[in-house]
Amino acid sequence: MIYLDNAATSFPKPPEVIGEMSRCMKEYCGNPGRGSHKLAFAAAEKIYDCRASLCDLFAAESPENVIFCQNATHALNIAILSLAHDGAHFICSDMEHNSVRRPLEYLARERGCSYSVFDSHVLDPNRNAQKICRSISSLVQPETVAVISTACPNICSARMPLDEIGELCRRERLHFIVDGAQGAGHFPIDMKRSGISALALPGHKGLLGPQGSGALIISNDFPARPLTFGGSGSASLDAEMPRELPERLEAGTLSTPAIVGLEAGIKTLQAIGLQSIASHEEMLFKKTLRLLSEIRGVTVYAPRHAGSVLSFNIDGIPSDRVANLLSERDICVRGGFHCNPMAHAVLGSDRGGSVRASFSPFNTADDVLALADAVRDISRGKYR
Amino acid sequence: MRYIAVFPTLTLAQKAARVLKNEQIAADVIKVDSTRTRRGCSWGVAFDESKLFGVRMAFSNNSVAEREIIKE
Repeated sequence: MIYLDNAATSFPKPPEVIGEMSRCMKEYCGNPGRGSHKLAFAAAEKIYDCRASLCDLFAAESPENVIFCQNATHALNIAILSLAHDGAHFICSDMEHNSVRRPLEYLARERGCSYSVFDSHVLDPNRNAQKICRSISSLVQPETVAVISTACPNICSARMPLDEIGELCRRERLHFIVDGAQGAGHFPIDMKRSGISALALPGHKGLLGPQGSGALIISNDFPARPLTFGGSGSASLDAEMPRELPERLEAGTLSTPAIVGLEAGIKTLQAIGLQSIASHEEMLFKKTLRLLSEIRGVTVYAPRHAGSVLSFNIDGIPSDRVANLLSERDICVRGGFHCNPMAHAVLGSDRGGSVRASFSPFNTADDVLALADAVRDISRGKYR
Repeated sequence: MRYIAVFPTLTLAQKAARVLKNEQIAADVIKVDSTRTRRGCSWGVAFDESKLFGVRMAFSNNSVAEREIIKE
């Protein structure tokens, strides 16, 4: 089996992740932050370890600013809905996933908010941070509360200039919300340097953890409001959620096995090194691009941006059909729209989406050779 | 005898305990007796009374704000 769907979820998981989750379930899976017995404290200490690791990895202000979530979508919903009020205006990029677009649409329909979409110039051969920031600046209104940008889209590898957008947000006194779904674990993200107010993270993609793990990391001045309400293990006599982070935003029992798995995933990627991962994935991208470019009838989208995600189509064959045919060859990729119609409209793949190959540190050059061989066969009609 | 530095949440108590660990001050994270708190479940860091000054210094130097310090 060749797995090239790491943008959906990374696979395989490192043995350290599986081992720690199993150890947790067998040896110390008490309810963290509730009881005072040894298993409850053991689980709580492991959870704090993961908060501290995420704080260090993303240069956050403090471990308590790390809020555990189910996934990046959950984290984005907390961040975006926290800023919603009647008349609030948001600015987001044209590369945003439905995890940003749908909360904004909901707020526009139900809560009197509005949003504008900025041009991230992904197809512009002279793309630069200044052009992107000018696009954003032209949309700022007195009612604007935040700029929302992905760190890297999920259907191409065009990184966003987070430092420059963050500087613009500082100047304009706007919150800066970043969707780290495809960036985290693939290249460094520095909240302090980039002035990020809220960073949404999936644990199960580049961070190599299990599904069900994720986090929202916020700056001290981000006015986060709970999305869910309930037990927090503290201030139990109060009718309201506690004021203090992270418990304010973490109602209900955390998933200790998922969080300790995430911690093991982070340790694994730190042992490999983020720069090594970025270089390896760029190498795989360039090799795939070169091989696919030699096949007649194959279009690669946004090919100038090398990274962990490469999208393509074969003329005359729907992307989902190509993905199914590749699956028959034991090659896992994803076809369709990848929950991102806005980005497909920009790339020109909005009629049927695209086939997406996405890489991890564990993929090899042989994997992309096999992909290219299979795509060549499909393009010649061998599977039709 | 030990003192307890009381914090509103477990996470803040854990953070305080790690600050003390870095300062080589032995401390245990504990759940504070509910009869001694006004808002229900609270968490604390218990340490030997001889370390009170060092604990206060460590908290001050690391922006750790305890709710109160009580006798265990």
